[in-house]
Amino acid sequence: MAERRISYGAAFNEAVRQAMESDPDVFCAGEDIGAFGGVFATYAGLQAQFGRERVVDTPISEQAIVGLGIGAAVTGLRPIVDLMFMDFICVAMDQIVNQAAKLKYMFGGTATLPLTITTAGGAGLSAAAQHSQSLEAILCHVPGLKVVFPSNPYDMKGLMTACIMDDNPTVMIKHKRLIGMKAMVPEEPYSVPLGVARIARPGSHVTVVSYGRMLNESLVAAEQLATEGIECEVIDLRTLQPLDTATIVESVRRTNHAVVVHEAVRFGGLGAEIASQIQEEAFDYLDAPVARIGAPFSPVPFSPALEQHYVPDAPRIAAAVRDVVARAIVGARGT
Amino acid sequence: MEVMNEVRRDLHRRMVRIRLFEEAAGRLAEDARLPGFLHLYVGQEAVAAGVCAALNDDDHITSTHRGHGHLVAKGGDFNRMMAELMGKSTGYCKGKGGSMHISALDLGMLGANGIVGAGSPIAVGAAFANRYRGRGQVAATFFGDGATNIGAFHEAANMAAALHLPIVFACENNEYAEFTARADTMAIDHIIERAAGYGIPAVIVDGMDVCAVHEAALEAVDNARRGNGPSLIEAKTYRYYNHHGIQNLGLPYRGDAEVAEWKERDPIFSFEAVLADDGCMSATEVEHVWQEVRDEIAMAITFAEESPLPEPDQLLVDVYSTTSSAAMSLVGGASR
Amino acid sequence: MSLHARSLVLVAREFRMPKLGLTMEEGTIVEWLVARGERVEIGDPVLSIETDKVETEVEASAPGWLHQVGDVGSTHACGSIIGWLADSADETPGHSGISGTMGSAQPELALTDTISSVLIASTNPVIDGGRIRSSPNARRLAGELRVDIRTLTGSGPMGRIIGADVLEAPPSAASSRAPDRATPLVEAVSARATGAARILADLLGVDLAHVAPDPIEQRVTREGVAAHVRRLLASIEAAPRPSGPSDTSAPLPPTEAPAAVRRLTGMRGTIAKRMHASLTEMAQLTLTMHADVAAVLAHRSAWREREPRSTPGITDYVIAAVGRALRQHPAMNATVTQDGIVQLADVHVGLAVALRDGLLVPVIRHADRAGLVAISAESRRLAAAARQAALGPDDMAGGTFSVSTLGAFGVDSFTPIINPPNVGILGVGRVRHDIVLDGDRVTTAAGMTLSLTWDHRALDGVPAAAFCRSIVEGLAAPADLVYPRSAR
Repeated sequence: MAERRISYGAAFNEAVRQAMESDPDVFCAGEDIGAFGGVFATYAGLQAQFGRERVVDTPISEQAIVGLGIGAAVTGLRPIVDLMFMDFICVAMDQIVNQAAKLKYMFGGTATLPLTITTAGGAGLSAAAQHSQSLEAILCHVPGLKVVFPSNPYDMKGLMTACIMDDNPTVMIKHKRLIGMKAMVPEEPYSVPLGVARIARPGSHVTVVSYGRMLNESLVAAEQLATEGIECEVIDLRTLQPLDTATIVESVRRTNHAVVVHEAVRFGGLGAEIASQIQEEAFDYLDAPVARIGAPFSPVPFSPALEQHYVPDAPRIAAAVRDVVARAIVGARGT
Repeated sequence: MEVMNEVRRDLHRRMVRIRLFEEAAGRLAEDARLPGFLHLYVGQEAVAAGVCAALNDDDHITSTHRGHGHLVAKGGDFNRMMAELMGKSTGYCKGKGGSMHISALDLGMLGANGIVGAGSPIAVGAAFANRYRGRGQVAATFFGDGATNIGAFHEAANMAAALHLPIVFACENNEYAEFTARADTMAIDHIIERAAGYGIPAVIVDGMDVCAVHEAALEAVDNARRGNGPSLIEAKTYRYYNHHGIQNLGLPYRGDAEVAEWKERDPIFSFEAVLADDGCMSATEVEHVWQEVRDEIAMAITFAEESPLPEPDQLLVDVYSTTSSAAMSLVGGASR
Repeated sequence: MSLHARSLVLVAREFRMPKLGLTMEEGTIVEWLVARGERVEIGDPVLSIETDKVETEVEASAPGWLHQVGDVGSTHACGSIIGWLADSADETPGHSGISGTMGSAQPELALTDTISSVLIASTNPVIDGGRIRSSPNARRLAGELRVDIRTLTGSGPMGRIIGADVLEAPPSAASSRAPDRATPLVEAVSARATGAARILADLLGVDLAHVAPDPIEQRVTREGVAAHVRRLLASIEAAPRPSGPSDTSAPLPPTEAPAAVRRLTGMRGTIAKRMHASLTEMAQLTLTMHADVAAVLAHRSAWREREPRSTPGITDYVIAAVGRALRQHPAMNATVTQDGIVQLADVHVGLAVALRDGLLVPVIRHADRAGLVAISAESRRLAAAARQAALGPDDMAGGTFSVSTLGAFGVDSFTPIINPPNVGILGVGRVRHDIVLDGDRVTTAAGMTLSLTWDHRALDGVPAAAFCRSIVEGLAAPADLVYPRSAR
C-alpha cells in the first residue's frame, strides 16, 4: 500500500476527490469552494477536475446551503456541503437541527439523508469570537446527527470517506490549526469506521480522553508525564457522536483515573457527558473525580496574548493529570 | 391556455378530496380523536389542486405546516394520511411525524414542515438534484405570505435564481401570518414584488379560481422543465378556519364579515357552477364525486382507528440509517 | 508535589467546626443562622450545630461576609472548615480556591480549570466529616479483598484512600484476604444500570445481570428491577410447594418491607457508634453484687419527714457512694490511652438519663467530695435540662465513671456498656424487699443488685470487686454521704 506524507487538508481533499471519482452522485457546494478552492484550500482543484455542476460556488446563504444538501440528499444524491467556519452553523441551525437531523425520523424512516456537512472549527488563528469556536457539543446533543473531529491526516481521510459513505447527516469538523499537519497517508481510498475511538497511546495510570487538536496536545503532555513516571493512556475519540463509550470505560476501569480534554468551553462541553458516562459505567473503578480540561467560560478572545491562555495546552493538561494521579504515583506503585 | 374538461374534472375531484379530508380531520380533532396540532387547508384548495395537477408524479414538492392539502393533491392515500394524523403505525410516517410532518417520498412529497419557510431551501436542493440527474424533473415549494418574511425563503429564492434551478415558488397568500394580518407584517401589497429582487419572474393569480392557478402553474412548471429557471406564483386565497383547529368565527383578529365574503367565492362551489354551466359536470355527477370521497374518508377513518398504535420499541428506530453508500462499497476499511 | 504559592493567597478567614468539649469529635450543622454572603460581626450567632450531646449556637469570632461550605445536615470533624469569613460579599474563597485570584496578576492560575492545587495541598484529615475519604475504586477493592479500609493511609489527592492503597495494604488490614485476587469475592458489576436500580438491587439482593434492560434507556432501571422481583414472586407463588426441605439455592423473596426505618444519625447515631466502639475496643466484663439499702431507705424517710423538697433519690446515694469509692480505688477512675492506663485526678460521675428517643450522660462534678444535697440538686437540674434539651457542653464533658439505673423499670441486674473513655460503669437495679435469714431469724431486708462493668485491660476482677464492695459499704452508712469532703 503506497503511502505519502501529506497534510490534514490534503487528506480531506483526497477523500472528497476519490469519493467523487467513485460515485457520480457525490457533489460539493459551499461558499468559495469552487474556483477558489475553499478558504483553507480543502476543496482546491476539485472544480477544475469535476466541473461547476459538481463543485458549486453558492451564495453566502448558510440556510440554503444546508437546505440544498438536504433536498438533494433526500431525493437521491450524496451531497457534501461546506460551512466555511463552524461558527456559521448557528446561521443554519434550523436546517441542521430541525430538518436534516429529524427528516428520517419524522418521515417514519422513509427518508435517507447521505449528507455530509464540512466545517472548520477551533481557535488559534486570532480569528476572534465569531470564527474560532468549538461548538461540537451542540451538534452532539441532536439525535440524528453524527459528528466527527479528526486529529491527524490519516484519520481525516478515513473519517471523511466514512462520512460521505454514511447514509446519515454527518458533520465533519476540520481543526483550522491542523490543516497543515503532515503524516503518512495511504493513496488508496479507505474508511475509518464512525463511532470507533482509537487508543493513541497505551498507558496504565490515567486515561486521557480527547479529540481534534487537543488530542495532539494530550500526546505531548503524555510524553512529558512519562518522564515523571506517569503513564497516560490517550484515547482519540475520532467520532464524537456516536460516542465510543465502551473504549473509554474499558480504559478507565484499568487506569482508575480519567481526564477529558477539549478545546470547547468546559461548561456543558462534551467532557461533561463523558465524565457522566464514566461515573455511570465505571464509578466503582474511580480513584479520583474525573477531571475536565476545556476553555474558560468566555468568548474566544482576539489578542494572541489572551488566546494563548484561552486554549488549553500540554502543560495545563499535564498539570491536571498530576492533580488527578500525582499522589497515587508517589510511593504507591509496584503492583 | 384552455383547460380540458377531463383536467377540470380532475381539478374538481382533487379539491373535493382536500375539502372533505380536512373537514373530517377537523371534526375528529374536535372530538379529541386526533392528538396534537391541526392546521386546516379549507378555503385554499384551488392552490394545491391547481399546482399539483401541473406536476408529474416524480416531481417534488415541499409543503408547510398546513400541509394535508398538498399531500392530498399530490395523490396522498387517505388511509395512510388519516392513520398518521391519529399517530398510528400504519401512517405515512408510522406515527412519528403527525399532521405537521406528514410526507410521502414515493409521491415526491418532501414533507409538511413545522418551521415556517424551512421547506423552500429543501425544495432548492431537490431542484438541484433534479437538474443534476437530468431527468427533467422539477420541484415546487408551497409557502404562505408569512414565510416570505423569514430569511430561509430569501436565501432559497436567491440561490434558486443564482443557480438557475428548475423550481416553482408557489405562494399561498391567505392574508394572515397565523393570527396577524399580512398588511401589519410587510410594507408591500403583493408578494411578487419580492421575486423581482431576485430576478425571478412572478405572476399573481386568483387563488380561489382553480383554473387560473392551474394555468399559471402549467406555465411555470413548463418553464422550469425547459431549463428557464425558477418562477413564482402568488395565489391570493383565504383560510376559512383559524391558524389551527376548526374554530371559525368570533376571534378578534379578523371580522366575521370578511370570512363570509371570501366564502362567497368558495373555490369548489364557484367552480361547480362553472362546470354545470359548461355542461362539463351535471349536478348528479358532482354529487356522485362528493359521495364517493365521503365513503372513502369514512373507510379511512375506520382503517385508521382500527390500526395499531406504534410499539414502544419503535421509539428508537429510524433515528439513524444503518446503511451506507453502495457505489463506494469497494472502499477499504481502515488499516489502523 | 510543589504548590504554586500564589494560589494559597486567600483573603478570607476559615470558619471551622468548633470543639465544644473534651469528648466532642464532630458536629452536625443544624441550621445556618446567617445567609450566604451576609455580613457578620464578632459575637453574632452564625449557625447552630448538634453534637453527640447538645444543640448549640456558634458565634462569629471575626467580622466578615459569610461563605458557607458545609450543608445543613452534614457532619464535620471538629476543626474542619465549614465556612469562610471573607472581606467582601463577592469573594468566593474555599473550594474553588483560585477564584479569589481571578483577573489579577496570575492569569495562568485563574485559567487552570483542573482540580485546584489548593485542595491537593490542603491539610484536611483523611476523616472528613466523619467519613473516610476513599475512592469508589478503593471501596470496591476493599470489599473484594476484605480489607478494612479504616486501617489504611490514603495516598490519593487530599489523602484519599485509593485502589493502590488497598492493594498494598499490610496483611493485618485484611481480616481474611481472598486467596486469589483474580477471583474477587464480589463479582464486579458489569450490567448497565441506573443508580436507583443498583440501590434497589442491592437492597433486594437482585443480581442485575438477570434483569432485562429497559429497551428505551438501554440499561436496567429501577422499574425493571421491581418488575423482575414481581415476576420472581409470581413464579414462587405459582410454583408447587416442595414437600421436602426447601431448596436454599432458590432465590429468596425479598425481606418483608420495613415498617419504619430510622437513620443512624444525630443522637441515635452517636449512641450506636459509641456503644459499638466501646464493645469493640474494650475488654468488658460484668460482676453483680448485692447491696443492703435498708439504711439508705431509713435515712431517706427521715429526710423526707424533715425536708421533703430536697430529699435525695436512691440514685443520688449511689452516686455519692460511687464518688467516694472511686477516690479509694483510683484504678477505676482511669482511662486507657495509647500511652497506657492513665489515672485521672478528678472524679466526675456521669449519670445516664433516658430520653424519649435516646440517652444522655450529664456529669456530676467532683462527686467524690460533693455532699448529698449538692449531688441531689445537681442530678435534678441535669435530668431536667437533659429532657428539655437545655444541657450545655460543659454539663456533659469530662465524666470519669458512669452510673446507669434501670431499677425504675423493674430491672434487677444487667450488663451496662462502658461509656468511653471511662473504664467502668455501674448499673443500679430496683430496690427489692427480700425475706432473709438473719441468724435463725426470718426477717425482711431491702436490697438492690449492683452491676459493675469494667475494662479488664485497666484492672482485674479482685480490685473491681473491692471497688464494688466499697460502694456497698458506702450505702450501708448513708449518713457519711451527707456532708461534703475536703479535696484531699
